[in-house]
Amino acid sequence: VDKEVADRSVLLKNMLEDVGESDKPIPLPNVTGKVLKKVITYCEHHRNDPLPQPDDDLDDTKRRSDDIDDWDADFIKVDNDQLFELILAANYMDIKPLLDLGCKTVANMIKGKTPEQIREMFNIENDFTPEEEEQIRKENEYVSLPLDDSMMLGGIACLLYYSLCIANQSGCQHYHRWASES
Amino acid sequence: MTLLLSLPDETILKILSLLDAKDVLAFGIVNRRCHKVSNESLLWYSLCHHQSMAEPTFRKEMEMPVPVASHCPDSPTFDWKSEWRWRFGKLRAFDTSHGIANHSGIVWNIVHSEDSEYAFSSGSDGAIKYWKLMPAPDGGKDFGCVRTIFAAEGIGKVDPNVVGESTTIQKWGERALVCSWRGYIRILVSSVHITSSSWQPVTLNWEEYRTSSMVVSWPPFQRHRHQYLPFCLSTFPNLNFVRPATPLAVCDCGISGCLQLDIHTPRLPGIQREPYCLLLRPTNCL
Repeated sequence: VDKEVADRSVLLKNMLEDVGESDKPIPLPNVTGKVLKKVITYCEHHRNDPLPQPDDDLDDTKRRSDDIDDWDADFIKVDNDQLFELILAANYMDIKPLLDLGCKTVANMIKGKTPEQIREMFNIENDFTPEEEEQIRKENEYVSLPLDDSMMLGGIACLLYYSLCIANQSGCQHYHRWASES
Repeated sequence: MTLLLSLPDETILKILSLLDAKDVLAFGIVNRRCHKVSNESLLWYSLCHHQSMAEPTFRKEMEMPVPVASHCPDSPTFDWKSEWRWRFGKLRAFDTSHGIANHSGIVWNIVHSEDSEYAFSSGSDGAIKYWKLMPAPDGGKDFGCVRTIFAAEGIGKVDPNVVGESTTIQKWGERALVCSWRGYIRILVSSVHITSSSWQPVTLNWEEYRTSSMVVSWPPFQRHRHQYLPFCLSTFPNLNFVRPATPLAVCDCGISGCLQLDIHTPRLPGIQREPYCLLLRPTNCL
């Protein structure tokens, strides 16, 4: 791998700077050969991209996961295990664009899913007791989540009903009086 | 077991930061670790900030922690998840679609008690609104606006730079109503005897403030008249104390068990010399 490709990894870049000119191999104990090969493919394709800036994460417009270009989308079409191995490798090797790509892909997989679907998709065991899960669901229910279309129609009807009720009852809902009478 | 949970918390947070609140909440039900990571306050700060940009109805300034029921302004920590819930939760959904309940301007602040199922909100329209929890069409909970209080003015000048030193109070009938302290309305009856016969504000020093007795009974159905008010409500954007149309209200526990909101309108002393009271019956309001 030439240096320009290796420099996409901040970890490798720093190690190369520390080691200097040398033919000795650089150990990457946390990355398997198969995953490393995939990482190198990514870095070779993006070898001429501008390096990410430290403040990029602070940009609120970065809060989106649908801005994946065609090559990246095709590159990241892998099974779940390899996807998370890639994320772990990108995190370990400090390759921010690859880490972002992996995170966006996982975020897109989670979007719109129910907790049960997320468990099934990622094979996650539910370790809540039924009571704990019920409590958390209750808390979330208390929060206004977007309604689907059918619920929205029901909500509008209900709000109209409440409006009429309040309008009809406003005269007897409260009493005005002077403090001196209390 | 999938490798998702082998990712460090920081990486999972990075994934969650790309989701909206609904998906983050769904993720939090998956298992204990997901729940723990999804409750990260920084994540909810980001959601509040992001959604504030898209929802101009609610206040945008994020630097100043906003008091909610469990967080009096003196609290060193702040729960941004709770903050998100009260900025963009059921109250917002109800508020934007319900003409009677709407604040006509920016909503500055909301305080609430989940246990007692009430909330107060204040807004740039100069109103304080009292909300009560009610069943929502989707099976959750909504807040219904029970009462709106307008048009009270003349809270007096409070110097925000003299934190912990002084506040300004208004005499109110036989009672002295302290209405602001460090940017928050706190409702109490002072132990200081106010002799002024006019509506002139008087200054209360810290010791006098500290020894003043709270008059508000809360939850409203308790009849003990001297207990600490569990929340504070700011009606000031950016801690701007000198605001010409500041609502002024005191909540009281009437002997009938009703919540009583007394409104002071000092601008019209010739017309309305006594405090103006609203007697609410929360259980019958909706």
